[in-house]
Amino acid sequence: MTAGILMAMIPDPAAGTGLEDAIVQNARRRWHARGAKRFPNKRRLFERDLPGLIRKWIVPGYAPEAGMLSSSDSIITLGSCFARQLRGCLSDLGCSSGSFRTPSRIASTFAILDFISWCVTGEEIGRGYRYDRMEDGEIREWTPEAERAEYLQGMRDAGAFVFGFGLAEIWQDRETGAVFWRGVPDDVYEAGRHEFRLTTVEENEENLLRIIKLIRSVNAAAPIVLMLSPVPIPATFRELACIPADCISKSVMRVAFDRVISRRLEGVYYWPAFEVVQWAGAHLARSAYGIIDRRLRQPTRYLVAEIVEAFVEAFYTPTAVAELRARGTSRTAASPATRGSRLEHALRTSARRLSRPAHSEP
Amino acid sequence: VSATRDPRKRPAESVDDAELGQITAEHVRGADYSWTQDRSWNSSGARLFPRKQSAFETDFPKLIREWVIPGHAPEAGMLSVDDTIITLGSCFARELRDYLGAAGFSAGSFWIPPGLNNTFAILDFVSWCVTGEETGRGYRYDRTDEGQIEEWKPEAERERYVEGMRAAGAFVFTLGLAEVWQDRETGAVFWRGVPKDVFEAGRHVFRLTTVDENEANILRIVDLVGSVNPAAPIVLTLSPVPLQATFREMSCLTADSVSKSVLRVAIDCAIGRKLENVYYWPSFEIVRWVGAHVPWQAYGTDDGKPRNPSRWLVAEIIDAFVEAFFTPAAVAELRARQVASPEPSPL
Repeated sequence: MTAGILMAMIPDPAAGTGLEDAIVQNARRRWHARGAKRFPNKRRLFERDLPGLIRKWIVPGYAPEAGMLSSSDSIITLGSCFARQLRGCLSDLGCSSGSFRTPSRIASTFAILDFISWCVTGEEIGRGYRYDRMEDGEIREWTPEAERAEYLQGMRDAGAFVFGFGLAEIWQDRETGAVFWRGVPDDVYEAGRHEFRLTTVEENEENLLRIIKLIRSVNAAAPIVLMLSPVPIPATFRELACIPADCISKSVMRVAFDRVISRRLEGVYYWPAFEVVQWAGAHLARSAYGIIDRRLRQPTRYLVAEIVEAFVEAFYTPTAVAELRARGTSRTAASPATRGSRLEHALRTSARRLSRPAHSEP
Repeated sequence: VSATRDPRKRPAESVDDAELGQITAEHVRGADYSWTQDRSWNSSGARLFPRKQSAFETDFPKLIREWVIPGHAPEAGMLSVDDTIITLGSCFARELRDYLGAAGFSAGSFWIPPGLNNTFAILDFVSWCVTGEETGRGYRYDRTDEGQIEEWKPEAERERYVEGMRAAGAFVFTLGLAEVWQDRETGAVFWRGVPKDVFEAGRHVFRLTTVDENEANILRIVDLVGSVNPAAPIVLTLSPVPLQATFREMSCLTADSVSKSVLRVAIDCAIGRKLENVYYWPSFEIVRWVGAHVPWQAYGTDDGKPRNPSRWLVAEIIDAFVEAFFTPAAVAELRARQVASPEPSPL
């Protein structure tokens, strides 16, 4: 059994796309291949130049035609802890993330729809149980930190909305149909009544469309950027191991995003943060997660920084990008070769600010 | 230590607990909240994500057995070494055949058109084998061994294929992609690409199929196989080999992410029906998901080609598969006869 023989046996799932002509040089008959976009075909593309990989092999198809944000535009980030990381990176780069304080770490489209619906219409969708772990460690129902009018004003003034959705698994009350923002408090939990389930592509697509519609009713122009968090779920209650459960949960979300984006709604974008970490990550010679601080579900700060850099480059006007870079945070500064740069320092500082105290690290 | 700096009082500030599952992480990790355990999240029955980076760095076989496979293996292995395993779809088949071959056993020897990677093509082929009727929805253009593209012609009589299926000990179907070329006029799907001299812009459309379509195809395949062989386990897998190219309006790498996602959800829906003898084997998760956490490349390590999963990883996947699906006696025999893996471990 030699490697050569084995390689010949490697399958070709893309045979369907007709590109194996590159291998069969002498064929008289060829597959139609015009307009095909290829998978990166050299290993070094994953090894040498991550910014280049992101811009040439991942981002195409997702960036707006021209950047539209200015450095003073307020960016509202909402969603999972990945949204927090993004917010930290953006503000460290000098982008304004506004003072709009959203409930943190709500990762399902149900919870975010519930919150946005309340902000915009004053009505909850009647389908959310807003239990939250408070700053003092207690689990209580979430109460707004500001008046609804303030939230609404923040949304009206926003220059952009960035959502980081994390998962498709939810706890639901079978009797009322209501979905828990996070978990079910132990003293509320009733087996049989509260069920854990995987939501469907259609449900998430519908929630995303409703979120977009609600935002559009108060802010007609600001770009809405959807992201799938690459942070895996820490646990599942399904009858299978957590890693495949995470894979399925992300897959549901990814298909829902694709369906929303395929509608070509004005000003609605997907940003492929997930693919940079989860897809390119498996091709990298180092772990895409937890490598710096061994926090094993967090993407490395280097990857997050590059995702945010590419995002800024795509969504900010050239003037704004130049302005942000002139403040001393050039893209090249993020490369591992130049650690200790201002950007790296800024990222490290923000991550430290967000991070769990050292004693509780795994 | 002031109250605000007390680490125990800063739960919401942690980036490490996230999202819904955090509830269990918080509960199980415990220490941070033990002083306020008068109210905790329900966490009974939770299955956790690995909690130590070392899980990804030391013992790989253990990693996949403890953190990926649970929920997917049959209660007890049922295959013996002389069972024929019919594999359709892609590499898994051939890899398994090699594994068994290396131990001196030959898996099923009749030739099935290789590389049928979408559920439409697999269904078309299985349907023809079992019923004698094509689904009427397949264009079977294939590249022959000589490198020519022509319509696929069975190499054996249909009877022989059905006989092979009846006698099979197990079936492994590997799904590769959810993107297909389709004829707008007839609705038929091409097994692979569209020959250049057949292609008509406007008539032949490239599209992403839906979760529902793929689930329906999978269920139909399972049904057809069950009609001739109700006892043999059917194992579905998702190929970790990415698309070579896409014709959608986006980068291939992200199109691959969507295409695999469609199939992964479709498989989950099919498996969720708890059909007897139908299993999913998580090869995809072992390469693509675990691959992003390990400190070495999961692809391209052998030949520099970034679409090829590491040979070593593939060997580990097959080994775990054999352990799960073969009887203990068969596993012992196979292991005893297996030549040492030529693949160097990256660990």
